[in-house]
Amino acid sequence: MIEVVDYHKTYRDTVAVAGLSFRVEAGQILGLVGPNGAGKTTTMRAIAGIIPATRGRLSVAGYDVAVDPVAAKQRFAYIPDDPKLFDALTVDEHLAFIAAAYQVTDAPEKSERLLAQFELAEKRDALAQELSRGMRQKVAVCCGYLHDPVAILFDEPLTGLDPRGIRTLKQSIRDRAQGGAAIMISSHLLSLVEDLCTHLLILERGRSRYCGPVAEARTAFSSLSAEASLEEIFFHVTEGGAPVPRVDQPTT
Amino acid sequence: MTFRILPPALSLLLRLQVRARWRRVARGSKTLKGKLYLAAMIVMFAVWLGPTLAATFFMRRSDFVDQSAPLVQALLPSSLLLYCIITLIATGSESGIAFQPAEVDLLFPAPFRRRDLLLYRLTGLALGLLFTSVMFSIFLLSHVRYWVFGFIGIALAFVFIQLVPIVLTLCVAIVGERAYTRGRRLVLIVLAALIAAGIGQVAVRRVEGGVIEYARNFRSTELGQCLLAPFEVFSRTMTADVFFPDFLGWGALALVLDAALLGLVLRLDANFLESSITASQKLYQKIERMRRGQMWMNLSKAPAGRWRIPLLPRWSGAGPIAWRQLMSALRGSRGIVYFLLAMLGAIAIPAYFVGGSEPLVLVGAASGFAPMISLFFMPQLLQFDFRSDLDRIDVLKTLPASPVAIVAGELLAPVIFATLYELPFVIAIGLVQPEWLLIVISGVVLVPTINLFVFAFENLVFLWFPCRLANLGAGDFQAFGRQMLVMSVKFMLVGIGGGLAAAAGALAWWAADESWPAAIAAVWCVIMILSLALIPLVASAFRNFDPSLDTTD
Repeated sequence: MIEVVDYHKTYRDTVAVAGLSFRVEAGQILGLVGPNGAGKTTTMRAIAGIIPATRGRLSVAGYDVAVDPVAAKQRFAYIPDDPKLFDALTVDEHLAFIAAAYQVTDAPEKSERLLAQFELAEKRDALAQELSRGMRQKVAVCCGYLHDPVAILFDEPLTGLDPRGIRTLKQSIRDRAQGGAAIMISSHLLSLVEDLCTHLLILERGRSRYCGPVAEARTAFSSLSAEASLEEIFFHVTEGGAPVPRVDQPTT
Repeated sequence: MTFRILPPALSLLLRLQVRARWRRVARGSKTLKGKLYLAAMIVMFAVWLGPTLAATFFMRRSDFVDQSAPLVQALLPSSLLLYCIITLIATGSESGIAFQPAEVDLLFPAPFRRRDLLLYRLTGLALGLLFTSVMFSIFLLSHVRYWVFGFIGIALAFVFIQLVPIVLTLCVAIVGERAYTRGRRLVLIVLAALIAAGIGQVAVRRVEGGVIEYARNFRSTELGQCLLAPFEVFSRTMTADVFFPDFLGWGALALVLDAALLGLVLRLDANFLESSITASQKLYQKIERMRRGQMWMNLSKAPAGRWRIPLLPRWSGAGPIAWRQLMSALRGSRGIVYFLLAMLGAIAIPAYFVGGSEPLVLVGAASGFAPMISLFFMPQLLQFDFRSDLDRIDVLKTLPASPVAIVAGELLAPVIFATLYELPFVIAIGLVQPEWLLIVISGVVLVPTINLFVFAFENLVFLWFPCRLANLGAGDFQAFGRQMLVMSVKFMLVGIGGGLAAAAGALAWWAADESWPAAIAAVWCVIMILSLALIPLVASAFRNFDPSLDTTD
């Protein structure tokens, strides 16, 4: 569903991402983790077609983001960290616009369902500028879900959400994955990744350090115990304490 | 098959945004404050446009259009060229196509082609220009034969001027930023050289008769004709006498110019999205700085130097606050310093030549300029006080210091900075006067006191009517109205304070046998009493300030 092959991104003399390759299949949830500046958001934005790749091929649902961007974008949703909304538009108007943009046929019913699911029904006529940070996040998620994307990219999805909102969002991510969507979550919250993700990609300085199922991460590093937490794996990998196995193979 | 310029979703978004503007006005008008601001806005428009409209309806238009036609035809192309150059200079390497942060987040990943996004941006720009063009066309009403000619001409001219940096932005994406930056610099240098050469040609002719004659002569040089050629087309469209052949011919040519640029924009079809994100981030940072009242601060760039001043004594809590503001002012005011130095140069150089021969003229000019700079200009420039701390008011409220101490700490930095700028200016003027010692001492005594009064008053008004300065759009009537209303109140109260001080000074001068030192002492006393009286008021306003109620209306 999401395929990245030999992705490079450079800014003048700075290499942001170098030779990254991975796949996220339908039903998988890939957790993208790494220290600040590792290239997580750059990778997400490149898959979302916002920034061009310097080299490599990125595709969603078989459509190359650079060659056929409109077809690719029609099939995924990108929910950035701290999503910005149109301050002067209401929640309903945001959904109306997204429905028109993605040509959603049964938008009113879907909007109703999503607003109810994320407890936004009472806020449907509120302007975006009147919403709290968490509510804006929920609106962005509703906008992302409205066209039933087959691939969803989340960048720090839990920021600003209340406990109920976090539970709802987590459950919705699981449901979407079960429904056949390929999902990528970039986050510094390792507990979230451990809780939700089926697969893991650890980036460091633009390079992949581990890519594979979460369950296999423990066995991939011989110096770690079988009960090692994701946090221990993360620090082990990013602090270079042990030889790093070859991990750039696409997941299967 | 139907032909559509924009995808339906983007047309819908534009419609929603237009509706949102009106809704904002309508919602804002529901409160008393909103009604007041709207009324202030209407009054201001009436004052601004009323005389022009009245003159148009009650006088014989042909008479004054005939009179002003040569003036307009001489000045308009040069003004448009100047505006275009300013736009080009002000446009950074990427800011020609800037999107709102929400547009970046919601439109860039959405299934639209780059060209669709570009057309959406251009359509939004054109809608904004429509409003501006209507305003300018009303302003030009008494100088053009028909309003509609003026409106179409100015709208086409604005479109042309806005398209130039967009074409250049797309070139960035194609040739790369470094090459573009060099290219843009080269273009500006060549333009400056051509204009200098044209001005030189005019200067050689020893033209007399002021700016208009200079503009007319510049227009008649070969270089002037070359540079002004596209703007001449728009000018002729605006000032056309008859529909055919004047308006139709020149208007068609103007339309062709715009269409050619638009065609170029669409033809380039460069991948502008990445540079647009950078431009949008810069724009967003600029808006955030404006909201914090730091429009002139170069916070987006790293400070040139990590200058540091020693920590001030505690002074009951005022010291650390003043120290923080002074450090911010010192490190973040590179833009202000450049701007003020440029202004100082622009004032000081002519003043030096005029002052040498006719010192009294200088005093007259200074007495006109100084109050404007000190009372209205500097307070907008030096916002190192509560106005830059709007997002940190709750932090200030938790500090273990009395409100009076916090107010004193907040006011110290702008007063010191304003004084450091104004005092050399006053001393420089004073030194070329016969009574130099009196003027210098008056300056040293009065300038800091006046600044204390001005900044205390500015902060009082701000805490009473808190406002985040957002980017004022074409439909932000209430925001404009608020600015006008606050400005009027400031004019009025500063006038009353100034009047009281002047009256006390005059009384002391008369009572002390025409003694100037006595008059200055009396003025100082009155201003100081007023300033000190303001501080508890500002402290009370700060104490009562509720950050949760801070809104833009």
